[in-house]
Amino acid sequence: MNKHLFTFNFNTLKTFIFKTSLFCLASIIITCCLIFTIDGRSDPFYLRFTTKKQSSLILGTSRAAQGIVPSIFRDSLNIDIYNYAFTVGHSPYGPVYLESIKKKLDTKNKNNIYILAVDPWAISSWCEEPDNINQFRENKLCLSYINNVNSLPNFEFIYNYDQSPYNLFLKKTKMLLHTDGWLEVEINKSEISNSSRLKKEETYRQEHLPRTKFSTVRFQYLQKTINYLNQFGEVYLVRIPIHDKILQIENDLNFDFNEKITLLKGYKNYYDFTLIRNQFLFTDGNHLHRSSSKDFSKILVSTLIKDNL
Amino acid sequence: MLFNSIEFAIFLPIVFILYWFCTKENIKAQNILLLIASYVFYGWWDWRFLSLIAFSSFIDFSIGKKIGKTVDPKARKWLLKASLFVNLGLLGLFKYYNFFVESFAEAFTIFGTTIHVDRLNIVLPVGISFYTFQTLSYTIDVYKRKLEPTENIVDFFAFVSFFPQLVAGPIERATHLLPQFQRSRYFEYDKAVDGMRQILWGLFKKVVIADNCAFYANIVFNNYEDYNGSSLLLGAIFFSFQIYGDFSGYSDIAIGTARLFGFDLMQNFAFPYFSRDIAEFWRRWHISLSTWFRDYLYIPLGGSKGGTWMKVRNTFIIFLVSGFWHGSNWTFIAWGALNAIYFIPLLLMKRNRSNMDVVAQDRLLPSLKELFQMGITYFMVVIAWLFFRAETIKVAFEMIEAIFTFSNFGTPYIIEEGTGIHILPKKFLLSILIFLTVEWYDRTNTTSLEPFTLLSKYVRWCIYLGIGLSIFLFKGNEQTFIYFQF
Repeated sequence: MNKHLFTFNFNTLKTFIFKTSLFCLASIIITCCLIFTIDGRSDPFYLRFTTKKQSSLILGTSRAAQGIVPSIFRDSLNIDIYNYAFTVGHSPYGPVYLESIKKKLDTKNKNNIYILAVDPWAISSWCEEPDNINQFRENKLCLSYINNVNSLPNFEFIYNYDQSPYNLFLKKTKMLLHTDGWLEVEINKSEISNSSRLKKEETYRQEHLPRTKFSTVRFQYLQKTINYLNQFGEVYLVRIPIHDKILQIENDLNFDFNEKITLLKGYKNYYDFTLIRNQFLFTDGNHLHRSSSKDFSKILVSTLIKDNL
Repeated sequence: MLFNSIEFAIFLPIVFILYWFCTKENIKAQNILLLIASYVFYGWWDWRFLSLIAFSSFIDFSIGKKIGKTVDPKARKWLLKASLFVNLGLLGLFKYYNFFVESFAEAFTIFGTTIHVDRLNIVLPVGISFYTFQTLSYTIDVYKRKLEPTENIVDFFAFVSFFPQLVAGPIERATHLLPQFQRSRYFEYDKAVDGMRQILWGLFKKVVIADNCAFYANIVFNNYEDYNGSSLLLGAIFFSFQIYGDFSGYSDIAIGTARLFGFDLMQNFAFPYFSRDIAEFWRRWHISLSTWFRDYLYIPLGGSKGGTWMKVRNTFIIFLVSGFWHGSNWTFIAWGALNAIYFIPLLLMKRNRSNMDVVAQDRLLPSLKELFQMGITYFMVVIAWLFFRAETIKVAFEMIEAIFTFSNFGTPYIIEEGTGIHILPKKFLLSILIFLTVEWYDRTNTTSLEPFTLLSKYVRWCIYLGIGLSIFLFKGNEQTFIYFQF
């Protein structure tokens, strides 16, 4: 009797396991389909972790992510350069960013170029002890925990995504991350207002400036980054143009920034484009408008050409 | 180990397969496996506290056996007292010691004397309030001769530590759960499918409803000074759904998981927000705790049998103890007291049992009167939740004052962190409404999503996949189950 009962239950058990597995499988298939719908409008970072290793790189914070357009380099110099810049929270110069750069860099060639966007924020810290690596903000952000930055799809990124997955899979933003890493923010010129700049200026003045302190460690890591990249090509340091008011705040943060840069070694040249800032249009004072990003990139390329690149 | 974790998603199928395939439906082997699995489940959080459960289980197993063999009423009473002393003593030490010494020291400041007390730097063992009450039910029932003491230590240890309900209930009675460990258990397809459905809906409640509500509720409660009355009320409403989704979601997953192993756990939540008065609410909210207090505290105190004063006193005791059970903070006691104040008028007017049936039974929609009653009851509950969630009683009163200052009652908003922009999460509010609609259709049932079982197979699968996908896509930032801290 018991044997019969067990056989009977065993069959229903098998049916149950089969149906449960089918449900799980269907869920996995739907999820996988969704993963392949992620595009440049889904997330401002994801695609950067899905491309292959890159030879030449644009590095820095969101100013570089939005302000330097790799396609201009390809058109004018016939160089494939990849924009691997994130935000001031994620990618100020430091151990986390340097490790991530090492993972992204294709070191086969030795004649690459590297554009490192530099500014006082990128070598400062937002913590009590600016030189205490354990307190760096980026330690808890995606660059620190993503080990494989060249995988399509990138399950590591998806698994560790700290927002609702809806934002990644279904929500489309006004930002478009191009396949070359350029982050295009789709704001029309008519949408740019003084109020957004004033707001940004106030945020920088009231909230960011008091919390931010120059970090010797970050400055050393900028040097380490230059030294590392120097083995595989030429390194250029670039200060991207910003609005007058933001520049004033930046000078309050680090008035001798340009002098500090001269203390660095191993780079081919340093260009301070804040001197020609009045030629450009900014979305919020801190970032170039997409049209100005292209203009600026052209100026940058022609400067590099003049410099016998 | 959390129910909504990858670890549990791996752990559960392994235990399930071993349980049904390797034990060959042998009770002894099944119980040993469940005991090991339960200790692994609990030890995943902190293995050191396994000794505490083992100690508590051993004491009650031994005392239970001794009570069973003792005839002398005095000796039996002493044995019961010993069990109460050990269990409540451990609970008091781990959960209430710091509260008592701090309150004691604070009381002395009234007389201008400052007393320095040493706080104990101890971790509150997860689920201690739950398993303590569960194991106490055993010794009390054995003492009352409602239950024969078990001779099998494995059965008893497995009963105390049964992993689906170990850390946040439902608090099972020994009379209900222990015999299930002693009976043969065979795989039942329908029961297992019900269990899976309940797990799915429980996960939805926890991950989509509760965790997203927590996000908004935390913003409002942590910065309550920045909000007008309507926004504070909105924050409290978010919290009401957070705590409901969190706790009833946990219970659903627990009940569903137990069903996979052939066990029936008691229903812990019966759609409490559809209650028409506060007495009905308390018959539907955290049923396992309410009935525990009713059976082991209210009735022994005399229940409603004495005069009016006795009824009022006992009701107050029950609600205050219930509040205190939730945590060692005056806010919980205030929450309990407020619920007693809500409840006592119904008791005195003998209307505390006037809504015993399910609202709008056999009807699609409630009547206007029922709708009004449900609205008023829900509002009272939400106001009480302010005390439960606020950091201090003073903060709760400030929030209530703002809510009832009608000049301060503008359009509700949530201040988005980082940007400072005022937003109203309309889409999420809509999803709460959809959630409530599903619950409304389900309100006469004891297991989740039952109305969907009447639909065709393909529609049903689409709905289940939709719920599964929603859990994945709309999950909020992971929050610990609220009731773990109790």
